Amino acid sequence: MSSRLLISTLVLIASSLFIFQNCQKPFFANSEGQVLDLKSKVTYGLSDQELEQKIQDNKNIAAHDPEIQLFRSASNDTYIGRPIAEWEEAGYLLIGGLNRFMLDIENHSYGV
Amino acid sequence: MVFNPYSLSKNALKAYKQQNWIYKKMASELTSETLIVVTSSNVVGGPPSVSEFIDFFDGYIDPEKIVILEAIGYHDWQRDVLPIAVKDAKNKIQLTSRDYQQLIESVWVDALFPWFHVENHPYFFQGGNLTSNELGDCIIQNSRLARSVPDWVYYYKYKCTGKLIRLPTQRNLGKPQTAGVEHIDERVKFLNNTTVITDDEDYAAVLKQHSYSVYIIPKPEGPSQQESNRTYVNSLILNEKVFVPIFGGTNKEKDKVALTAYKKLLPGKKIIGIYSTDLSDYRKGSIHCLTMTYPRGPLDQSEQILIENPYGNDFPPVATIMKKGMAAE
Repeated sequence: MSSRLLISTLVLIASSLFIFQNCQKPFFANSEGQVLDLKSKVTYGLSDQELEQKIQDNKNIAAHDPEIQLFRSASNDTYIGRPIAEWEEAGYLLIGGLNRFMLDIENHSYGV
Repeated sequence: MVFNPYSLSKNALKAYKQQNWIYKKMASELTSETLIVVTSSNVVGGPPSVSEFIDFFDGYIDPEKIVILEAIGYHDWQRDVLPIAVKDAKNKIQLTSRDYQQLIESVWVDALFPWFHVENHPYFFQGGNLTSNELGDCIIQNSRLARSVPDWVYYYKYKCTGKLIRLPTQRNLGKPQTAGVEHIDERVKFLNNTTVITDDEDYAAVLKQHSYSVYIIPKPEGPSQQESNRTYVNSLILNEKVFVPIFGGTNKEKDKVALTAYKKLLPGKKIIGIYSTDLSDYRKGSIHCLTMTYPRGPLDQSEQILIENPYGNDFPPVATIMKKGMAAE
């Protein structure tokens, strides 16, 4: 009985992990079913060891990239721009995530 | 397998409802600004129709002031997925964009904002973890993700040509209860070139050493001792308005203190408190995380544009832009 329960639990965990993994992926596929993997270049979800490796890789890139060398040789007072501060004049306010679900919950309780 | 929001918990649904209410409240306060609604073309049920958006904002904003961008991808934290606006050496505005797991961002951004030059970089960056002033000073929480972004990216791409201050994360300071998502916009905010507000005394001490005028505002009480994502710092300055998260209940007095602080430090601006309890508790973010602001460009004059997918016509278009006022037609 307990081994059945264990197996069921393991199957459930494996299914959940599979679903979770797939939920995280963007789902762009063409008519032939080819799926684009858009997660290939992200750092999110890396283990500590992998992240440390990425940091090390970045340092190695920095050691050879001419653009970065230029940065290092630039004097401190070289003016190459600045961020736009939040209090500067804005023309647009962008809001996101207003999909069908968000509009639906206005009209339905869904347990709320 | 598609994410099904209808199966969310009751508390998460309350948070989404509060998010809707916040959008409407902010829309009702817009004066000269245009509201850009970014919606997704590939979530459950497809994007809503234009008339549904008009109904949604009915009574809150003139439909003439709405632009709808229908784009691939699904994400509502605009601060973290959209590029950051900066000025280049000739004072020209450009956008700095980076890879992100849920959007083909550089393509998307190029398509949506063609009048801005877009600079890309391959590092994982979230806009919520950057506050800056006009002197080129930038402050971030040095989270494990932020540590993977080298200084030169902040300097060259985000134009942090003043100071780059990497503050230790709350977790590294032994404060897991206020660790949040380790973004600086939960703890520190520039209000002008020399003044910052924060709700963390350790951060205040460091920032004072950098010669800023530091104003400490209270932390709201949270639902538990273990963790709280409630903060008054996650506010948005939008021209003459400042939208500040408030929490009511046992936080009423602290709400008043926070609003008074903003009023005192930003004279002449209208300070608007917006309830954010459910959003902060269950979605771990608030007004600043949800929104992004950009300088004005010619989007208002755009016709309806279909941006084709760079991977070919077999894929859905990257974006559809509906010009300002089209929603009203």
